[in-house]
Amino acid sequence: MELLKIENLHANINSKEILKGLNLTVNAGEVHAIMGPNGSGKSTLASVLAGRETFEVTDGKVSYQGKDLLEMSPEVRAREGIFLAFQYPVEIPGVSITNFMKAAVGEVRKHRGLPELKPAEFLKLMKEKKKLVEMTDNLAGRSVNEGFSGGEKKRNEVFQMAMLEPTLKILDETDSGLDIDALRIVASGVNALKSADTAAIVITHYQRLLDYIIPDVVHVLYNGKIVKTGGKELALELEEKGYDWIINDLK
Amino acid sequence: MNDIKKDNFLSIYKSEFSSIGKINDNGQKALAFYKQTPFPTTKTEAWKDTDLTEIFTEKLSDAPFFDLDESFFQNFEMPKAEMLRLVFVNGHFSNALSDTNEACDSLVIKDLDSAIGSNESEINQYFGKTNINEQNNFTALNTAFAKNGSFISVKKNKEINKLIHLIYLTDGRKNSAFSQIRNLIVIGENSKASILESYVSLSNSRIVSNAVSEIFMKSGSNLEFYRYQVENENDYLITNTRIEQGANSHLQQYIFSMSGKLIRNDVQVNINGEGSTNQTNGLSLADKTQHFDNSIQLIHSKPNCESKQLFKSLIDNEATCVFNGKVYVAQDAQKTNAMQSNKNILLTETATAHSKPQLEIYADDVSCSHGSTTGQIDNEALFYMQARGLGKQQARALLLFAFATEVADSIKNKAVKEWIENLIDKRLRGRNIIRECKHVFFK
Ligand SMILES: Nc1ncnc2c1ncn2[C@@H]1O[C@H](COP(=O)(O)OP(=O)(O)O)[C@@H](O)[C@H]1O
Ligand SMILES: [Mg+2]
Repeated sequence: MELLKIENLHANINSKEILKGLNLTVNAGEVHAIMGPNGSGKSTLASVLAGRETFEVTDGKVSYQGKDLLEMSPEVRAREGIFLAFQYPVEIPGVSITNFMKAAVGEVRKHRGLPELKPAEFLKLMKEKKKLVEMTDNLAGRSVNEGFSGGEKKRNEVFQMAMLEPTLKILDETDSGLDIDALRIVASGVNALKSADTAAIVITHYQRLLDYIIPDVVHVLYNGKIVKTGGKELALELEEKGYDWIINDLK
Repeated sequence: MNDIKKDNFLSIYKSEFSSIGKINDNGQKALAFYKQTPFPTTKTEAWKDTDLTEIFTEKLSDAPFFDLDESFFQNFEMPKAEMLRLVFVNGHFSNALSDTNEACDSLVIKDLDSAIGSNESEINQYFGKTNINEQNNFTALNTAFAKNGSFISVKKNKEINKLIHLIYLTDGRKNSAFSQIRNLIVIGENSKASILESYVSLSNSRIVSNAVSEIFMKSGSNLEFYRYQVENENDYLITNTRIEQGANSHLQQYIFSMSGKLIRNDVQVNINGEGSTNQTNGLSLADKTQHFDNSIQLIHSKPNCESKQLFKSLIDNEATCVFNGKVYVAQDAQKTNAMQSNKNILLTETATAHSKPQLEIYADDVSCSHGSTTGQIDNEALFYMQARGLGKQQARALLLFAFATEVADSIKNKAVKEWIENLIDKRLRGRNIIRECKHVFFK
């Protein structure tokens, strides 16, 4: 089943074109990896999908579960099951992870027609998901991302992902800056959420994450477009040879 | 020109001193001071961002006393704590609304007017002794003519567990009126108390309130002092406060300015003994054309003391908030540790913040810092929260609430903390983020 279909997507920031006619189709049950040199537009794609208004979509279509994604506000996209694990999660002083998640889970459940969780049920859910990413109670009581290490921030992203049970997960360099243990925890968190009805787009620079999260499809994004698509062996090839051979082919 | 302004107030009283004014002839001296001192204008340095002109444009009457029955409080949102309470209506004591029955012999809690008779020696010992009487025209006017206010005296070595709630209600009953309150608070050696002051307006007519407080903290004493100010849209509130801190005393002070046309809080704390600490926090939530001004002076005269200040404002529409904070460290006050921080969020392009944190240091071995930031709401954080499913309004409310309640984080009295957080939350809800809050104090 087709979950996401991007056709000829063009997007600008400050009148500079970053995405230049991007096409991508993701089916339920699949894991797609997007790789590519810095500055290619990978984070831009993730932001556009999440609904960030600083990016202006100038052309193209995005349909998600058959609906026009670009018509939806960021919060409606989240409630409809799109989750972006940010490359650079922001700090929110004074708002504890627990309170933040209480509000977020409440909104998402309301939208999905699910009953409100009782306090005890919410705490149970928190406990379960914290365990999944090996998050300490101490961290959950703190303000969202405030003073967190790089690894703690990424772990918090995966924790929130687990809490909100999204349908389309987008992970933007969630592996960057993680040591091998943290990487394994994050990856197993992501794998635990895998199902036949959901899909994931994993943006990464490194093959090593793909040892844990096995992709069905690997894309190379370069200069605002998908320039090559292959199976998981493409990631190995990129690891070995870099991107130059693909870029040179384009010329 | 100034005389017209002065006469405006004098004509209210026809030079009749109140019993407070008659204490040791203070009123006479204060009146002489008043007559020769002009009211501040925006050319006066300490008032340059706060324009009082409008106070003088309308003739004010003496705010009358009227009684309310106790059922009145059924609609009040009160802290969920055991309380002793003094209530004043337009500066007059309301016996019916007050509740001091459960007061123990550890403290005196009564209206100042009756304390003049019953606690004469203490009144003579403390009243006017902070030199606040002739601080400015408002304190002088108050000294000569204020009719009543709170008198609290905690004996030595006592811990008062009940919350002392002082409630100052005003209601001009359709007239523009002037109301004054005069307070005297003494916390005895090694004693401990929590005092909450609520300044609440009940009317839509213009009320000008002028409150003066003197607080003496004896050595080893502990005081949590909260001030909640919720006036109506036409109301002016001017408060002048002097606090004398003895050795090893600990003060935590909070000023919550929630609404009013113009609020000016002048607070001076003199730290007169070693080993003392002071935390002075303030939160201003201003919208429409409201104007709130906190002018705080912390004077370190003795070594080994600590003071921390955190003042925050959320400013919406065309509102203005002013923070003037001065920390003065005398030559003797070595090893002073002083921190001062002012943070403002402007919610519109027409909102204004004036911030002037100042350090004046004459000792060489001190650790002092100050800082001030004025910015907008964090759009990155807003987007992050939206991306988790929160609506924009909800995300905003959560961010602003978090920003605002930092001021209350250090409150030790749980009931007061919960109460004030709830009131802040209410104030921040509604279409305009900071909503009409005429009745925020009510359930
Ligand atoms: N806020 C911004 N303002 C201006 N240019 C931006 C902004 N964000 C990204 N860009 C530019 O867009 C291009 C793509 O960036 P990005 O999507 O972050 O790439 P990637 O994630 O692939 O490294 C880069 O050239 C970057 O400089
Ligand atoms: Mg990126």
